[in-house]
Amino acid sequence: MSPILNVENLSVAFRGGDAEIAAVRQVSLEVAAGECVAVVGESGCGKTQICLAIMGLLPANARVGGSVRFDGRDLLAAPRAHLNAVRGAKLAMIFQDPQSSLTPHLRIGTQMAEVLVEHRRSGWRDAEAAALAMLRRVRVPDAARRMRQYPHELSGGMRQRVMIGMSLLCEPDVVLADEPTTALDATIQAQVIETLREMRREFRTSIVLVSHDLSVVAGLADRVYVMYAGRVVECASAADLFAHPRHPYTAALMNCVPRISGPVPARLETLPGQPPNPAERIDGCAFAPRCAFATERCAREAPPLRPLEGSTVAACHQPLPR
Amino acid sequence: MSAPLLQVEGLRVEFDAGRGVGRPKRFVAVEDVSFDLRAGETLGLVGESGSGKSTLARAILKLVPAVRGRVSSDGENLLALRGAALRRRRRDLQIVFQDAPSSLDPRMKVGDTLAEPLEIFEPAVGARERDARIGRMLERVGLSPRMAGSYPHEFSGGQCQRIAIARAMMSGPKLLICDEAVSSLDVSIQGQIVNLLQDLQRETGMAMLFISHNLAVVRQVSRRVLVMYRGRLVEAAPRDALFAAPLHPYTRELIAAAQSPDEAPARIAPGTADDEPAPGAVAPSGCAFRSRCAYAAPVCGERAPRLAPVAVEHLVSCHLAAPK
Repeated sequence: MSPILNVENLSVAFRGGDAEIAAVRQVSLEVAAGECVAVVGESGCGKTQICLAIMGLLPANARVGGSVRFDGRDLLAAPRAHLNAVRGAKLAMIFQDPQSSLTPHLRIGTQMAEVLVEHRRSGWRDAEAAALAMLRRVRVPDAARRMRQYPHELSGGMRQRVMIGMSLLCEPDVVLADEPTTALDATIQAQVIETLREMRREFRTSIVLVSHDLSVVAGLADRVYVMYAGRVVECASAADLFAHPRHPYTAALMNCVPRISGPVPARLETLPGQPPNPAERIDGCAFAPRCAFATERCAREAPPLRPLEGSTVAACHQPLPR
Repeated sequence: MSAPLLQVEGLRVEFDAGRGVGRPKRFVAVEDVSFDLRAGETLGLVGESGSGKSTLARAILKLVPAVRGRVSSDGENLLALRGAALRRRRRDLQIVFQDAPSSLDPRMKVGDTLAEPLEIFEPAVGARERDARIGRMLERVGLSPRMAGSYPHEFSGGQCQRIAIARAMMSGPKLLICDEAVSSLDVSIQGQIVNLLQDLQRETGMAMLFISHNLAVVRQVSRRVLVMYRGRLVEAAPRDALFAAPLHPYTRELIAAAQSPDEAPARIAPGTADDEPAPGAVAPSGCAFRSRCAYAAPVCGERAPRLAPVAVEHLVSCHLAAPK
């Protein structure tokens, strides 16, 4: 099946003073219809920049290379009018902080209905009825009253449900969700993940889930891309990735997460050092300085992504045994 | 068992929540909180955002005023102290905040930041010894003594947190309060900082009050755990008892929601009413949790449950979980 969203060799760089900061380096990823693809990695790995590049929301000082093919067109080369027609309708985004991505001075009902008025040329009355129905579908309790409220009157979890509902109003083909549960408390987080799962079943929407949190990803994604220092270092089905991480970074990331059950270790597993400075040129593998298995070759020669067993593709000279 | 290092009794903290009709509205952030903290122990404090965890920590240090209650150490009520006496006491009680980069003064070199506690608490220390101690402390938290001449913006988030920990450790505290100290760090860095805190504790014998919304991290470091919900303690128990057999329905919900990546994802009933308190919501009468509690009985609406012992060191505030 041909992918609905196809990102090829995407690069994003920023000019910062006299240095150029490479945030995303030749990233390719594809999303099939109805698929949930996760992009995981730590802060600064470039995962959010990928979302912003896809949505055409990068700041003016960003230099973008590669292509983002969606619905038969390269969004990076498309005119603004095309982007405006696609964004919010066929391609929607849910941000981390629903507080600052909702308009504070508009009632929930008004800002939701506006989406349909703008993209579908619906009348306000119809649009508001559709917004109310959507709020009920994303399980916002007391939906009719919420329609008349302002964002500040809603709790964080409720606001994120409103954002999810709003993103689904035009029945988009793809929803980009950037850390959709990070700002929420654990119990609310679990509910919002469940809502996303339901929405996926019901609307057959593809989801690109960007998160630093492997447990969120594990509960939702079909396939996972792991990023480090601007590159994809491993990609696999969620089942393969969690059962058999092949890149040492993926394995380390999983080992570092403290457990809620089982014996309590005397010390937590850690990953020594820290990610490289994005302004620095990296010749070999970017992870080599922190990697327990690095050899002299790793410091010299950047490993390309290559297919391994199962669904796994990894960029490592010595992938971990399966 | 050793005498408590810190005794918190009936603490209540209120904030002005803007003016309503008639008289000013008060928002109760911490209500009737009591617990002991023993020398050298780590006490975890968990709860959702807005549950009052940070306010409780700040009230203990007298960074926000408590309207009622006592915080005592060695028989002395810390909340009654002022001026020089309070400052002397703060030498023993230090805090590390969540957002390390913004808790450091951007215009001060790291060395000057670490010198400040010495200037305040040990003014007799000369420049040479001061610099030597700063160098040793930087090394101890995993940084290079050469970094004393750098400014905070030259460091990553994890390194800034190491600096903040070094600053707190300079005065040799008996209690270190860690207020979401690892929450904004990436997992690979988070473990480094947790291990550092545990090492420092083993070396110095200090106690820790470890506040976090991350249950797995709290489980790693704590001997006992307190659970807070909307300003009140709802459960207090030794670590293993709490995670193996949580008694309060809220604690159970929290633990169920904290899944690990390779464990089966927790299936939360999708029909669960999203009943987290909206900002500024008025606390209902009776048990504050009852509106989202699957077991709520009529008694829960009539009166608020009180924290009561059910086993050794295990207390719960629930009409249904506690013996009558």
